[in-house]
Amino acid sequence: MFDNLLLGFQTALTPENVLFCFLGVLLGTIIGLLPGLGSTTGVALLLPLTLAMEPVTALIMLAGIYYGAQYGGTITSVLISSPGEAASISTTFDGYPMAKKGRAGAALAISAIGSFCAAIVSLGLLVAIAPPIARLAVQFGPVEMLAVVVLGFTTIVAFSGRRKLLGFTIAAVGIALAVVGLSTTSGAARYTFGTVELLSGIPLVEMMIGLFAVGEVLYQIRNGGALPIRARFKDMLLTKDELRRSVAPIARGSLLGFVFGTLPGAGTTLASFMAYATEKNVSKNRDQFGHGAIEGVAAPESANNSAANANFIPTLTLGIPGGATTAVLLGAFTLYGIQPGPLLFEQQPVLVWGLLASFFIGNVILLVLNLPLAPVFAQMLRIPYGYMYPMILVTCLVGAYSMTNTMFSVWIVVIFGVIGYVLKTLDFPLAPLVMGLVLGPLLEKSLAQTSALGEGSFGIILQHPIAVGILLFAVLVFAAGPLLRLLRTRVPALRRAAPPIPAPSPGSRPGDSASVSIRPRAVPPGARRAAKTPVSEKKK
Amino acid sequence: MMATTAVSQVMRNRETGELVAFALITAMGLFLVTTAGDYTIIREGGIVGGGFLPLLIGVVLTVLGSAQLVTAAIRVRALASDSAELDRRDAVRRQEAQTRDAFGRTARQRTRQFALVLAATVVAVATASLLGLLAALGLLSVFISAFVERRSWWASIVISVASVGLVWLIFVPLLGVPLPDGLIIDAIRGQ
Repeated sequence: MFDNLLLGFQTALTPENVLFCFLGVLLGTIIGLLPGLGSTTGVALLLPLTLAMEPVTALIMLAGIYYGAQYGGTITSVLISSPGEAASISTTFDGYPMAKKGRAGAALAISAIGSFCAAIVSLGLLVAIAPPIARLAVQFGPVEMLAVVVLGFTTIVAFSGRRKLLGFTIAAVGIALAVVGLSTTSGAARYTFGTVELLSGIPLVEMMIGLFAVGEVLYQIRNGGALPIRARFKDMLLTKDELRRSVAPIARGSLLGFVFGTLPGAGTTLASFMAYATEKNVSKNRDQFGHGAIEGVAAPESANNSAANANFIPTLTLGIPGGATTAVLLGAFTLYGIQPGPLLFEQQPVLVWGLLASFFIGNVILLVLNLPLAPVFAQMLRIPYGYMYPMILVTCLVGAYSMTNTMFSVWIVVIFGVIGYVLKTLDFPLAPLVMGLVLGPLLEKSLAQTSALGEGSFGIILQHPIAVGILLFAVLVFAAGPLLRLLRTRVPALRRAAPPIPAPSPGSRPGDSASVSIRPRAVPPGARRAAKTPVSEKKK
Repeated sequence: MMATTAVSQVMRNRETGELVAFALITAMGLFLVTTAGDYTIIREGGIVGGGFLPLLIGVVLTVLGSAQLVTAAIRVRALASDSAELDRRDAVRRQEAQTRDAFGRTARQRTRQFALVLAATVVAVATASLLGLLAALGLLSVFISAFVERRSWWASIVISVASVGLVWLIFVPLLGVPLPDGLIIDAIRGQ
C-alpha cells in the first residue's frame, strides 16, 4: 500500500497535475457558490473541457471540482441560507443563524477545518479499505454484481425520505430510459424510433447537463434568489471555545459520513443529515441547535466531505456510483476509455493512486484557499444572477455539442433541461433517475448472465454466499428505517433516545438524497434586513 | 361556479402537476409493457432477452405510476372540497404574487422571464444549423440581456460578445471543437 501511495503522490505532484488540481478546486469552489451550479452540474458542465487531457489529469481536475463545489455550497448555505447541494441543507439550520449573529466567518472557518479533517480521515480509510474491497470484488461474477446493483437501488429507495415509492418510481423511469439503444444482451435496437444517434442510448453526460445545469437555471429564473450576508476577514477567526466545541462533532461526523458514503447510491446527503441528527442528540449544547450552534455546522460539513470521499469506494471498486456526482465521474471514466471496477486497481494503478493522492493535495489547497479567501469568494454571491445565467446556458449548449459534434446532444440537453425543471418544481428526486440510467445496463447485463448461469433459473443466486450476503444487507438497509420507527412507537425508552429528524428546508425533504441541488424559493427571513450591501441590479 | 373556481384553484397547485406526471409515468409503463414483446423476452435456454427488462420495468412503472396517480387524484379531489385549505392557499398565492425576490422581481415577472428564456433557447437551438451555433447562442444572450433582463442594447451586446468570445476561445482554438458555422455562412463560403 505504501508503494502505491508513493506512486500516487509521484503522479499527483507533477506540476501539470497540481495545476489542474488547483484549477479544479478553485473552479469547484466558485461553481459551488454560484446560484444554479452544484458539484454534479459543475462536473457535468466542465467534463467536455477535459476530453483533450490525459485521463488522470482530467479526473484529478474533475474530482477537485467535486470537493471544491462541496465547500462552495457551504458558503451559500451559511450566507444566504441557500444550499447549493442537498448535502449542505443541514448546514443551513445552524450556519445561517450563526451568520445572522455575526458569526458567518466562524461558520465558514469551521466548515473548512471540519471538511479538511474529514477529508483526511476518510482518505486514510479509503486508501486502507478500497484495495481489499477491489480484491474481493475481482471474485465477483454476474450473480454478485446483480446483488450489488440491487443493493444500489435499495439504498436509493430506502433513503428517499418519506417518499420511498416515489424514489423507486423515478429510479424505474431511469432504467426505462436506459433500455433505449442497442440491447446489451441481444444487440437489438430498442426504442430508437429510427434515430441513429439513439443506437448508443440516451447520452449520460448530456442528460446530466440538461437535468442539473439547464434545469436549475430555469428553476432559478422562475423562483428568484436571495441576498447574501456579508462575511469579513476578521470574522473568520474562531474563538477557543468554538474550536473546542467542534472537535468531537468533526470526529463523529467524519466517521459517520464515511460509513454512509460507502453505500452504493447513498450520496452525501444522508450522511450530513445523520450527522446533524446524531449531534443534536448527543451534544451538550443541543438547546442551541437551530439557533446557531457551531456543532450543527461542524458535524454535517465533516460528514458530507467524508461521504464524498467514501463515495469513491463503490465507484472505483465496483463501478457502481456512490451518488449523482460520482455517476457523472463514472461517465467520464467511460469517455476516457477506462472501465471502473474491481480490475481498475490492478490495471490502472497510476490513475487510481494518482487520483487518491490528489484528494489529499486538493484538500490542502482547499483549506489554504478557503480559510483566508472565503470572504472574497463570498463576494461572488453579489454578482446578479441575470449576468450569469446566459453565460451558463451558452456554456451548457456548446459543451453538449462538443460531446458528439452533433446538434442531437444539444437537443438532449434542452429536453432534459425542461424535465429537470419540472422534476425540481414538483420536488421529485433527481438522483434515482440518474442512478437508474447508470445502473440500468449493468442490471440488464447481470440479469442475462445470471439467467444463463442458472440455465433459466435465478435460484442460482442462493448458491453464491457473497450474493446472498449482499442481498440480505440490502433487505436490512431497506427494513432498518421502518423497523426502528416501529420499535420507537412500541418502546418508550427508545422513543426518548431517538435522534430527532431535522426539519426540512424549503423545497426539500429530510433524507432526500435525491434532490441534488436545492434553493429556497423566496428570500429567507431576515436576509433582506441582514444584507448590508444591496445588489446593484436594475429593478424591473 | 364555486366548484369551478375551486377546481381551477386546485389545477394551479402542485398536486395537479403530480397528477400529470404520474399519468405520464403510467403511460410510459403501459407503452413498455405493450412493446416489450417486439424484442425477445426470454431466449432459448431460459436466458433473459432484450425484451425482459422493458417488460419488467414497464410492469413496475404501470403499477407504481397508477397507484400514485390514484393517490394524487384522491388528494386533488379532497383538496377541491376543502374550502379552508383553498382559501389558505389562495392567500399564500396572493402574498407570493406581491412578494418581490432579492432582485425586486414579482412572481409574475419571473414567470414571464422563465417563459421567454425557455422559448428563446428552443428557437436558438432550432436556428443553430442555419445561423451557426455560436451566432445563434450569441443572439440568445443578447435577447436575454436586452429583453428579459432589460439592460441597454450596448451593455447586452458587449456582455454577449464577451461571453460568446470566451466560449469560442475555449472550445474552438483550445479544444479544437468544430462548431457548426451554419448554412448561411456555408452558402457564402460556397459562393
